[in-house]
Amino acid sequence: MSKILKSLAVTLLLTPALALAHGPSRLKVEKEVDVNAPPAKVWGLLKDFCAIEKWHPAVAKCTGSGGNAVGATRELRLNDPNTGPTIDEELLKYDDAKMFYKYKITKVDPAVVPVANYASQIQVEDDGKGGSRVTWKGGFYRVDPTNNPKKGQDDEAATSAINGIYDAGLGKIKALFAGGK
Amino acid sequence: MPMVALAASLLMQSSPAAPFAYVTNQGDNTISVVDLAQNKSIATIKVGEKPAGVAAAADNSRVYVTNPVGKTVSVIDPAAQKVIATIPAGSGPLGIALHPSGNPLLVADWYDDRIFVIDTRKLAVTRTFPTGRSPSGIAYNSKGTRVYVTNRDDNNLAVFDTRSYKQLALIQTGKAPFGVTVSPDDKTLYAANVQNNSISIIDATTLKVTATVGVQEFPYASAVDPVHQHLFVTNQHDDTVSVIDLRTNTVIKTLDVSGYPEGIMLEPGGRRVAVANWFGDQLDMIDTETLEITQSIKTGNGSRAFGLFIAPRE
Repeated sequence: MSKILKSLAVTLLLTPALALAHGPSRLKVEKEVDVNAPPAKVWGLLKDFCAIEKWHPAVAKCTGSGGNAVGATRELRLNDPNTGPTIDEELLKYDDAKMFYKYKITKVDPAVVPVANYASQIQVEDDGKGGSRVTWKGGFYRVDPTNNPKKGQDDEAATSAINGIYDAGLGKIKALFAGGK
Repeated sequence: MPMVALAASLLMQSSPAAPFAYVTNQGDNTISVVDLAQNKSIATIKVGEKPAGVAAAADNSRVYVTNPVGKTVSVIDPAAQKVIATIPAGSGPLGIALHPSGNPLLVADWYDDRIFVIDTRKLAVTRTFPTGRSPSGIAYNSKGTRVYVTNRDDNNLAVFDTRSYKQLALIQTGKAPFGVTVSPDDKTLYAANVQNNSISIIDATTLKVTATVGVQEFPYASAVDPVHQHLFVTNQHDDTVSVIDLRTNTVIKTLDVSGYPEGIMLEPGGRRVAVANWFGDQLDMIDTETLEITQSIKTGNGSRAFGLFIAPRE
């Protein structure tokens, strides 16, 4: 095989791997907030899969399908209810008694949220003092799967985006119950 | 020198009999040493960056850990509870398997699609051999004559001869096979297909897929209980473990565990199955009789334990 052909063959062999693989190190973010209201009340706000538009400041509109059944979907429109970018998500697990649900992102522009293979869980628990603790945690990978990721698609960008999303949502939940409603 | 060797072998023989679980903690850059007789972590050892894979020698004389981000393999002396060597290994070392005799050690390079052969006496890479795209799981049979590698991005499992490292067969699995497990009698292989939520069951003699069993979201790794003929499968995104009856190839139970279960292995003696939880930061211990969690043992941040992480074992 000529040298050029050989290097072409090597390139062809390697390229699909880079396109399909994700890096071996998954990232996680876990945040919690204490809320001044009983768990049933807080879960009452969060329990509908599409209720996120009520408690997340970045979500301008949620369009859901399938309610709270596993496999239900929601389309989040960010910032502006008509023209904002979207995130498509799917409900993976739902437990009304334990007050949690799990979901995954099925489609998002990496320029909007730079993550891949994202799955997450939000849960309300009794803090034992009459109030609640809300925990939001997610596991995901960076967008650029190569060994030398581009800036903006690296671990830092992915982690920082999710930190921002969780802080904003949990902050609003806390604020909504700040008066002990 | 012979005195030193003698002292070393005496030390090994007098090491405690309790089986230990060596759990890689990706977020802490450590491994937790868990005493399974006492159900508690007894030590934490600093390793390389973002440890994931682990291979404990059957006699508990050594533990090897892959650090995919650090691009190294940490070699640990469990008696001294410290790292005795750090070996550079390619671009993304992840899957790891030790020959049943204790030498050599094989490490799968996720990015460069090859397997490193590391001599455990010289503590150096002696050769490499190619495999398919994004090799993930790697496992020897009990005789050490065959090694099996799941090529995640090729959707197949490669069978290699362990003398020549010649590829003997390539078996189509489901989508994105990750962990591979060999049954204790060497007759069956199990590949966890991450992207279509199933397990491929492969006859190791005919090298054919004999069944595909559906489990839950993102199956990652599995463990065989030969007494009850059960296969335990960790479902990462579902926070559960599926129990498959291998006589009927049906799921008989799905158990909740603490969060993002990854590495899984049967304890020596077969009483419990240990499950490492990446989000739960603990080992959940499942009783193989009752199929209930009987203990949970705190480990570190981002527990993975991908490989054969319990020793000593028969």
